[in-house]
Amino acid sequence: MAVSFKGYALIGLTGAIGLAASAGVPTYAQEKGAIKIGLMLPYKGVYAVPAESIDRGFQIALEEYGGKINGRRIEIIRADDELTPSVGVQRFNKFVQSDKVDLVAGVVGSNVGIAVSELADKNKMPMVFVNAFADEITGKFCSPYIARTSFSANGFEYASGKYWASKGIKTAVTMGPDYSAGRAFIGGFKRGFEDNGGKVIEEIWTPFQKTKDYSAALTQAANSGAQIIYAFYAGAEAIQVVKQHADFGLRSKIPFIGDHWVYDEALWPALGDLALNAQHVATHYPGIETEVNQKFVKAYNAKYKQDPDVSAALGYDNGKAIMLTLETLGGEMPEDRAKFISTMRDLTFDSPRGKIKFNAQNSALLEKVYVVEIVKGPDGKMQRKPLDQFPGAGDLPGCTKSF
Amino acid sequence: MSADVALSSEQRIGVLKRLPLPASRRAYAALFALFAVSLCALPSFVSGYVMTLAVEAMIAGVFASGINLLTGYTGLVSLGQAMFLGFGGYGIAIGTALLGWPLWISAPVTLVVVAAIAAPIGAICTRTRGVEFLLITLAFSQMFYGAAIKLRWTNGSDGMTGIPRPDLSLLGVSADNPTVFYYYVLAVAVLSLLMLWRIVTSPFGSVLVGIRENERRMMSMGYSVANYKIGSFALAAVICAVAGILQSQYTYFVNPDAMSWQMSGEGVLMVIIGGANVVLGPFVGATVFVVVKQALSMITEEYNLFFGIFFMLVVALFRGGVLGFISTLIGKRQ
Repeated sequence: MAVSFKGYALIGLTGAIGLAASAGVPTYAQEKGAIKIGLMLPYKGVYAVPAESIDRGFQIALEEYGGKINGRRIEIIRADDELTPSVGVQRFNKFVQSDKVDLVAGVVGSNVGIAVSELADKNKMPMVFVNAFADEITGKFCSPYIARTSFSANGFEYASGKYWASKGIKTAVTMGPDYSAGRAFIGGFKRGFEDNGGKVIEEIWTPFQKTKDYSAALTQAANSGAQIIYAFYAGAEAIQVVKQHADFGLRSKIPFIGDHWVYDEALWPALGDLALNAQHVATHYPGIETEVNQKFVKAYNAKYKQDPDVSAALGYDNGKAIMLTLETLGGEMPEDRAKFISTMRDLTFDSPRGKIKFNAQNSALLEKVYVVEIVKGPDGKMQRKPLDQFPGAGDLPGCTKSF
Repeated sequence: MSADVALSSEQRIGVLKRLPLPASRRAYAALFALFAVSLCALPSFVSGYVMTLAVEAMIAGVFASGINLLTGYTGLVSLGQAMFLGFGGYGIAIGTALLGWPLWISAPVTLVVVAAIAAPIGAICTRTRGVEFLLITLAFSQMFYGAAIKLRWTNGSDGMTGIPRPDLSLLGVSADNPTVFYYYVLAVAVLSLLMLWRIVTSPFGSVLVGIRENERRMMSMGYSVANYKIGSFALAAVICAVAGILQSQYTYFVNPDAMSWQMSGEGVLMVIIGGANVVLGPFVGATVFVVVKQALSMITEEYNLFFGIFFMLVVALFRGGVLGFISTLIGKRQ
């Protein structure tokens, strides 16, 4: 069966029509004047739990303003980056070109963060990261269009390493997922720990998103002879690694010290008693006795019937910083969108975790880091007991641009 | 015996009969012209995002075309072509960012290096066939994927950013502009397509088809089948690397994900959807792939599930992919 020239021309034409028809991708009817925020989070997969909390915290911040700035409605357009850089790039392009958003918020994974930072810079689109803690985001990849409302890995973990070294811990073995954020967090800890007299005997890296079995890594850690395991894990991976640490009977042998992600309250139901008596560092916990925090915890409880976890607080800070900036700008996105980010940089505000200030590279700094222990409260429910607190560290250098 | 004679004897026997290749080159030229005109006109009547989708479809089309040369024409189903996609992206990233070469040197050097790497890999892989070939290509690509994740030199799993697009300031335009970049990708895609068409209509291409249809016969006719297979493997790799270069320029970014086996699998899917054995098939497949996936992801978050169902429907209902289905329709009418 040979197809004639006419036949092929027809196929070509069909193809062309098909391409033209793809022009009919639906564009959502827009209420004129709404400020559109593209919110990009990994709603599925290992970070689904933190993503959901961030989304909720973000909404609490918006609701404080009644979802409006200067009479203009705020519209959130959500997208799932699937924690994959290539998908993140597609979603970012869709935000810019199809949804025509005014700014993009969110992004948990530093891998996605690095991928979209270049796009934000090239498209002159403000990108306000909620997590993306890798130091390079506001270091090597810094841009006048990029801000981060959380903190850098170094700001958190360097201070943590310094703290544990000052508490008589001489040796540690580290465990973390082998990707940018894992390396950034553990690297920060190691610098802080070793600069202050500690020694990291061994660094153990587990494949990110690709393993559920930590037995080999835990055995290696137990045999290293270190005083503590210091780890960074989050979401489903944190549950697995903490459970396996207990299953192997290592709880009495070598404590598994982590941060607020390893012992996230969103994971407490899954961890059960394993979370009890765990000590960890945190940038936020619901019991912080400031007015701002208690107001946030109350609002969160009223809406979602549970205490906010650290991701919810980070989501709130992200939304709050955006709303404050928009308020300062009178609800208008400036012609030069870098001005949006520079306005944000000049903000100082009280957030549930403490005072938030930005450095010259648009990265928010940590005023305080808390050391807490998870205990059973008088009502039988688990809660956190504050043990200590210390100031966060600065960011790593690396930004060569000036803005 | 020359390859031309081989082709005519094959045609007489009727082995090539199921190929819906038009006899006349004029028909192909006209077809290309038609496509070119409609694609050139695209930016003037669609919004920016559709153009972005078209860019994605064309890049995926070039990638799938490379797979098609190997899978559709030579009959070797590979699950490792994404490694060459990654090589393309990493090649220009290393060339421009680490070695400081301009893009116009980095890009050709990358393609030459990819061919040089692909030849020995091809020599090893093509000693096997069928499922074994599929697995050994998969193993090679996973090996390079693992290396890319571990290698600190290329930032490990973070990947490399700041990949330059071509400097078109001589023409007074910037490739950062989506329309300009669209035309750039279109030009590269058309060139790749023309090259592929030249390859598959050449005596060399006929030998590849002969290998697919009856390897023993080609051997007994005196062809060095092993060398032809390696040649096909290396050419396919270079075409995939071209797609890799475009992809990394499109996102200004490359990371090990570009080399994942999922990427190879998607490429094979595009070939099957569009129709193997046809030069344009992979482009049609890539377009359908990108558009359907986009449309589904706008409707539901679980779009991968529905995309799987869609793929099964195409395989079950459209023999020979979308293009095969259309040509069957036309054939019936005539």
